[in-house]
Amino acid sequence: MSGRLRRRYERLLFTYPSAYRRAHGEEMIGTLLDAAGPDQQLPAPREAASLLLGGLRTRARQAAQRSPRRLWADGLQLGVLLIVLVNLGHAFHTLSTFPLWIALVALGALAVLSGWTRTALIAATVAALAAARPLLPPVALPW
Amino acid sequence: MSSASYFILAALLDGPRHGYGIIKQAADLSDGRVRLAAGTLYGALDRLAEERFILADRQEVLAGRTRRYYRLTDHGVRALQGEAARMEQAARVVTRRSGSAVTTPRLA
Repeated sequence: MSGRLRRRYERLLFTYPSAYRRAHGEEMIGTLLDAAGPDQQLPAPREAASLLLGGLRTRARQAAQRSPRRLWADGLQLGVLLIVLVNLGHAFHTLSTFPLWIALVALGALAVLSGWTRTALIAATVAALAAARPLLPPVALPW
Repeated sequence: MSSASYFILAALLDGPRHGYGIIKQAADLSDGRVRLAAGTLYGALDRLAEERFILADRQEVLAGRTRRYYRLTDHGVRALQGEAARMEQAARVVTRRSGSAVTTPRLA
């Protein structure tokens, strides 16, 4: 039995929501391994395609069942994430001049992606202050 | 009802089966026309369970592989029989007339 094939199928299952994976992941892996040939090392293309599509469909179905409030929250998070990522892309121009700022923007992006609201707010505030530092009177900030 | 759902339910008619068991039986019953990939199978099982046509039955772990069995509910049996009757009726519309079909000669 191939542990490698199992790991590859497990990776493909990441297209499914994590709660769904916890509930059904093991039995899906069992079925996929049952359906695989004895020496098979690579996921069958049609199985891989059906897992990618199935994962996206499951996510879409679950999103459709959520409350409008949750949908707005998800949309807002996605929008903010895009802004933060664009900001991060811009920031790389100034990598040598403002490494602290870039680290903070990167931390902010990670925090927004993970849904850590407080960390994201703190990182964004400090990054904004760090970026604005040249514009502020020299005594205003401790660093 | 999709053809995948129809053959999944039909595969469970003679008792509970696990994922791969359903795939094999659906292929046998359809003369190899229905080849279910796992993503398709589990998407269909989710919908069928939501409609209460099937239930998750026992689960076993053999040689590190988890197998969960699914079984038809009474509601599922009735839905499947209803669908079969509907298809039979739809097929009759064509089969009872095929002897007297009027074909238009093809013009070259």
